Amino acid sequence: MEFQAVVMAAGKGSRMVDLTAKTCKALLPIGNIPMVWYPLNQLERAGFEEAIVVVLQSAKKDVYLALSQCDLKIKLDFVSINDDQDLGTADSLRLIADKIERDVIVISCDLICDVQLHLLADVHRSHDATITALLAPLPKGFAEAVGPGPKSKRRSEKDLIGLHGEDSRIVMMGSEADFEENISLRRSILKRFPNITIYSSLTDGHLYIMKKSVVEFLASKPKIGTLKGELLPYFVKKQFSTKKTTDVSPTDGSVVEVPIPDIFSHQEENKLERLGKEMSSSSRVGDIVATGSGIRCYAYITQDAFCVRTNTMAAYCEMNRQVTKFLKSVVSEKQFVSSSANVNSKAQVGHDSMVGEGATVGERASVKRSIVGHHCDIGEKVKIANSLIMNHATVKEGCNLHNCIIGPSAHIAERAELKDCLVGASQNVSAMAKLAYEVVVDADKLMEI
Amino acid sequence: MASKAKKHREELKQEDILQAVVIADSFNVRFTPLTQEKPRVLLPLVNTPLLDYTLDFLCSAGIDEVFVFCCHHADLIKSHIKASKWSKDSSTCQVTVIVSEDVMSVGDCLRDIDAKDLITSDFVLITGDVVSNMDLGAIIEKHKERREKEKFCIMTMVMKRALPGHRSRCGETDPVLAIDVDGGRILHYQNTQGAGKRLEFPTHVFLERGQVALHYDLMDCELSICSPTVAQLFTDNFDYQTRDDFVRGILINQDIMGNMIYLHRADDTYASRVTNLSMYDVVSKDILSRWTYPLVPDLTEKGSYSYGRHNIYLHQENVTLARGCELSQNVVIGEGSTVGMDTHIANSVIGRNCKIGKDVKIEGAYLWDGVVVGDGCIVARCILADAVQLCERVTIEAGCVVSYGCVVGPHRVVPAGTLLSLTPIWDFTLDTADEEAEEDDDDDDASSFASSLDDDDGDGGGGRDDVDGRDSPPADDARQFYAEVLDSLQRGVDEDVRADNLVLEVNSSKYAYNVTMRELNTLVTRAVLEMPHIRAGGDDDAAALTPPQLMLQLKPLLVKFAPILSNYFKSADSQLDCLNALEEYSLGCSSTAAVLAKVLHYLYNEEILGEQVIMQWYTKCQHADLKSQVQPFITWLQEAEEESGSDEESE
Repeated sequence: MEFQAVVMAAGKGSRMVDLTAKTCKALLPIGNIPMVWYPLNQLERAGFEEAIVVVLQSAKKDVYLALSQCDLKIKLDFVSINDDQDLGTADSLRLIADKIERDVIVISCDLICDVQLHLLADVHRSHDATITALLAPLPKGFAEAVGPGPKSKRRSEKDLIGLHGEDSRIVMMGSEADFEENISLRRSILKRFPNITIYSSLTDGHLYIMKKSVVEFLASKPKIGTLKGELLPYFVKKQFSTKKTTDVSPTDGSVVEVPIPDIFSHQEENKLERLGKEMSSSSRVGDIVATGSGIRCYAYITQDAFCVRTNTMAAYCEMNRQVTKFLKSVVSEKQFVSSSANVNSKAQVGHDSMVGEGATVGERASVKRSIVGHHCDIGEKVKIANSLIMNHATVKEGCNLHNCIIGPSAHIAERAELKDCLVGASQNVSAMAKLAYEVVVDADKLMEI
Repeated sequence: MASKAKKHREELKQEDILQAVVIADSFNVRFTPLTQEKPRVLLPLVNTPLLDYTLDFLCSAGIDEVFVFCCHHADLIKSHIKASKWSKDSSTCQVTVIVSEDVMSVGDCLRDIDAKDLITSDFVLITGDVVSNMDLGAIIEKHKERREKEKFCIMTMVMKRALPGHRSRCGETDPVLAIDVDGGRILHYQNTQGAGKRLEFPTHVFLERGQVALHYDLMDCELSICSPTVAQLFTDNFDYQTRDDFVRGILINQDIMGNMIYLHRADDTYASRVTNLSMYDVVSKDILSRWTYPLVPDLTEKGSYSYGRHNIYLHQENVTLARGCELSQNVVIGEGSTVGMDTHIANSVIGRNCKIGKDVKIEGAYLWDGVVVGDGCIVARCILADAVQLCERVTIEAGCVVSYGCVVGPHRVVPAGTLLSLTPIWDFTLDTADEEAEEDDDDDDASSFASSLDDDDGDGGGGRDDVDGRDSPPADDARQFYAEVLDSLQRGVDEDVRADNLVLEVNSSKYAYNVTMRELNTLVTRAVLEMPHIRAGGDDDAAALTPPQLMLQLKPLLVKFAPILSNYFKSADSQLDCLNALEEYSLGCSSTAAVLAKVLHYLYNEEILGEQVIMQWYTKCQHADLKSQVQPFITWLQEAEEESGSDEESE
């Protein structure tokens, strides 16, 4: 295989604490399958035979168990990192640097995506890129999706990404918060790339193809913590700085300067490229301008593929609603209502819904655009819409759940009406309760927030 | 035919008449002294007046009514239009000349047009120096379509792709645009000329829309389709002087007023403006090599030129080519011209009734009407205006401009970049020449024409009096400012005014006369230097004071004004301005030159001038005399530097 694959599954889910209090993010179910299965499945479909999975020490066992139950053929190499140190994605990659022997494809466990990876690889190869990133517009429904819980003003996390109009080279990158009133660009960059398209509608899929040299560079730079927030912007910026030539003045022989290893010392020069440069009278070799640092960051923009990061509550909820559609496109045969489930013949389960193994759905219950987890017990005349019921939860008769997340082993008593609520793991909701926009979790967990 | 056309016009409804406004004045002096006798729009471009290209372009696009707005040399334009084909009955297009002597800008023109109530529907706004072959009709159609959907679309700007560094990108504007990819609306417009190395763009422009394209590869053709409200908006906002002001104003207020400007990209067609001499060169070459088709000599003047291989255009009448002369490529020879034996001409335009002698070499030159070139001359890239005479064996080096009627004596060599004129040329712009030189970081010196104002006008030419013996005259405002500063400083000494009060006075004069910071730096330095001379009794003879006397006078002044100087010369740039002013003044005054080293030493000790700046100036200084005068000080400085430098290295 040309690339090594690394799946980053050690995220703590800081944008969805209420859900990740008991389970780690990588194991949160989407359509009754752990989240981390999706990127692994994507790798498998692209023909990868092995992948390195970076997980938290505490969750290693759970992840291993959960994945062994899924039918994955890809060979997995689990690497665990310490829970206590707050390690970013770049830190994780640094830890496994000695395992990286080739160019590497790094993918986040929360990426749900059906992009053909070879298209991305083609961009990477044809431009001899240092880093290639996947950019995608948000699919329908995700921009306006709201998660359960108290209504709060959504903090928008738009990225501003400037791409060269002709070949989608990344010229500028940063998140909205990085910029103040004005964006400042160097004139020399505009001269080289006189046609830049600046996107605010695209999200970075956190799927990168990197040269091996990037990992080597990372190993020497302990200050870089994350890939998206720090490493990529750094490389984008360094594309346009030139190599510092350390010239030792001949008169001054006493001081021998040791060249400080910098970003450029990790760029091994391509032999063919150098030959081309030597023999060419023009300063351009193919599409590669010979002047510059030799660092090239490119982007691949998906046109019609589905691509979403389920790293926020809202995105996670919406993904569960749309997961049936996605699974249909990815897996050829998938039963949405498990054969071991006991669904009453008078119950209605929509085509856009799933019912897990061993679950019971009572008489005249209706399940629409919702996921019912394994071994759940749904009582009679229960109405569930736009919701996610996790494993082993019990919903008693006559309940009405709309736009809710019910945690594992939670208990909803008779005729409760919940709207836009989140019920944590093993929580109880009393009978006849009427809740809207609320979060029901352990009191001591709330302290942490 | 004629009556038919007229009838046709009457049948049209009022709003169907397509109107165009041609601004025939440039409101600048880029072409002086060539524009002293003729307005810019009547200067010949490949033997056809510039205005004719614009009018041809408009008429071929089906414009019915053209208003030519002019002020400078309006009578000439009037009579030109009267004699032209557009005044004939067969013309489909009615050209009206509007004269208004007191307009000072494009804004004034449009306000005048609004006041006269000439505009009835959407109109084309264009400057009188555009050469283009684009399909204007289609662009107008598009504009109208868009306006039907979107009432607030008040303008469509037409731009052409020209990458930075492309020769058709004239150096005067350097626009960057932000455009909504979906629809082509202009969201932000910025002329980055002189904006420095970093360019700033408002962030909200990009956040509000999904995809915004940032273009640095577009060149403004100063051609726009406007709705009638544009003229009204100019009236409402009397501070809009140029079209750029207007565009900026509209874009800033677009969220409040709702007015929008769209972009039309004319990528496959030709459009260029003759805004300065280098653009004159570029556009002429483009016409010769037929980029502007059908606006080429053999078609514009209906069969009067023949077109031959290698882009050789010869007028059909009375062109005499002697034996052995060689026209290699891209040459136009006008009516009644003769070319002598063994003469070589390439990439050049020869006007009407020119006489070119034997064994002449002409390469990349523009000879207007009635030029006489003597035997054995060598003429490089230059402009020779009407009735210029070059005697025998004259060499004109690249980048020269020789104005009307100059005669250059035999065996003369006119150095590169010289400007010759019979009438005095006022330097209106104090230091644009310097600025341009700085910005010209690219290596395209091939297109820069004479901008330095040398007054070496050869033997035969009439005398241009040296305007000011000692130094170039500042612009009017700067001159008054200078007088004020001198006054303030004088009073400062006489009445012992405190230094910070003097600074306040100088600052208020700065605002009153609107001088730039650079001018201020230069002029303040000069004022201090000049004071001893004035105090010694009149400035008629600068050398009246001997160097020791001068130093005796200057020293207390420097002590007195040191706080003022250190107030202004904080940055390296301003210190460099000060040094340049010192240099310039010393060149004109030998006694000042003699004490320059001492002055520098004093300023250095007072920490007004930094060591690095002094060294930088010294290395750039080109006057050997001056260099030798300050040499002792520089050596002293270097020694001091080495001592302190060795300390730093050990760190």
